[in-house]
Amino acid sequence: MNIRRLSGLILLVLIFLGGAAGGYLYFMKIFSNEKPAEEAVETLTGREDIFSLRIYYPAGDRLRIEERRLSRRTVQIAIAEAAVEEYLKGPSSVAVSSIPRDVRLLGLYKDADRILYVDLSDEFRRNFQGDALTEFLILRGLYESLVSNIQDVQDVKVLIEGKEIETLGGHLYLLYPLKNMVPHE
Amino acid sequence: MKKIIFIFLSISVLMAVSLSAQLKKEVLLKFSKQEGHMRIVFEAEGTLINNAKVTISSPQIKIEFPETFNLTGQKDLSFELVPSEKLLVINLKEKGEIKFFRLSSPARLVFDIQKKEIQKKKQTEKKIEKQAEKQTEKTVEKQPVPILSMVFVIDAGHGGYDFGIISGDVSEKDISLSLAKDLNTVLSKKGKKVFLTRKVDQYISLADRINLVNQKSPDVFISLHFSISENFILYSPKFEEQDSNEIVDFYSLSSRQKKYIEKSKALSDSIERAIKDKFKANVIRREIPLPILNSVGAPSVLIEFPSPRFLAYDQQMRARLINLIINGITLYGRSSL
Repeated sequence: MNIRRLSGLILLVLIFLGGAAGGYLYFMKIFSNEKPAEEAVETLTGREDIFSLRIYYPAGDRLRIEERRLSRRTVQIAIAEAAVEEYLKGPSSVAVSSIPRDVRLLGLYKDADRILYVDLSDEFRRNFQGDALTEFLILRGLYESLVSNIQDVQDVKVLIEGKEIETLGGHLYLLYPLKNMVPHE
Repeated sequence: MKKIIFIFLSISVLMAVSLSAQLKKEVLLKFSKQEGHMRIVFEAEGTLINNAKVTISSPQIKIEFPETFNLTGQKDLSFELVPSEKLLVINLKEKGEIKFFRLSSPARLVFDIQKKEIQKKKQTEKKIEKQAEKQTEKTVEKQPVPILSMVFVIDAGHGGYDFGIISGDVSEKDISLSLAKDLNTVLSKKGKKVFLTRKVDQYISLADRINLVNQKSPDVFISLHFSISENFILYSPKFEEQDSNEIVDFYSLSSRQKKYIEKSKALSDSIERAIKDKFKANVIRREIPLPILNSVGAPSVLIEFPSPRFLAYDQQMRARLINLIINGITLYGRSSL
């Protein structure tokens, strides 16, 4: 093999490597931008098998558990999302529910202290109608629905439109995480 | 051979340049501001956030990321941002209390900035609270005040944009205010000193209501509300055994009520008896850690009257309800003598 042929070959290999590296970086950037969409797809469809969520609803002067069967989620935050969404739908067996209507889940995240922040739309506060016990059970039900379905959550804190508000219905604090605000009766 | 080395070197340089340009990590800036509070959030990859060094010396925040970064996100900021290589400097326009959180899912650095004036206001409120606490302790040491010289604080629930329970044209905030005013009139005529948490239709926070009660150190505190049922419901304070732990202290959940819990129960007992005498109605007793009861240093009760769906709150009915409370207070006064 003469030197000219060898140099041509090395040049080709280098061009190929350069192209491969450039291509890798280009596509890596594109895919990293699309990552949230992938997660969202997983949140919506997940795997095909089924899992069940225990949702706690106010019923009279206590909480009642309803089991909801959904397609499998594997990511903890997606399970939390599903638990809140199912909770906000209200109990299936009761025509009139004390859960405020038209509430949307705006965000969900966990901090370093394992406190799960649940960001809800203003309808949660605006459409609340009830007395002190109703408020207690609504918040306790939300707390139980989350901590009983999700691992590694220390406490739950509710935000309204991304902000802390003092109270949901004028009886209990919403400024602090729920565990100590709505303890077991 | 020289040619080959030259080509090899130039391609390597090109690749290194493109690599370093591409590997700059994205940092997303989010910012919100409201009434003296400002929140600045930087979202990025976990490694970048977790290894970032943050130095705070108000009004300046310095963030040193482990790698170079590209800052994207909101513009029109009310602070100055100076990014350079791995360092990001935030110059705030004025000094304030800066709280810093390193959060996950998504990984982010959160800075909560509170203006000095609001901070001062909170400190003043705390001082007033402490003074009120001292006053309350003195009152307790002095033994119970005779019934004729009783001081009352009456709390009309809800108010302003917080309507409470609504039934047709009737709202909880209006009826509770009306009852509180009527109760004020009757008690004042009897020579009692009465304070209302609100005299008009306005929103008063739970914290402000609690502060007022603790400033006045009353002999009786009554909070007026509606229930959603046809029953009268009396709420007494409740404490968990673990209430004295650090977490609760951290959340500033005062437990001033602890000293008065027996008196509060006696007050609820007396009002229950008065309701049963006047209305022959079902009275439900509940114990829930409501802040308005747990945080006040006074014998306290929260009364929920039957929902307006089940009871017409005309003048006659309101007079009956006021009478009922007066009877309950009288019974309590006798029992505490």
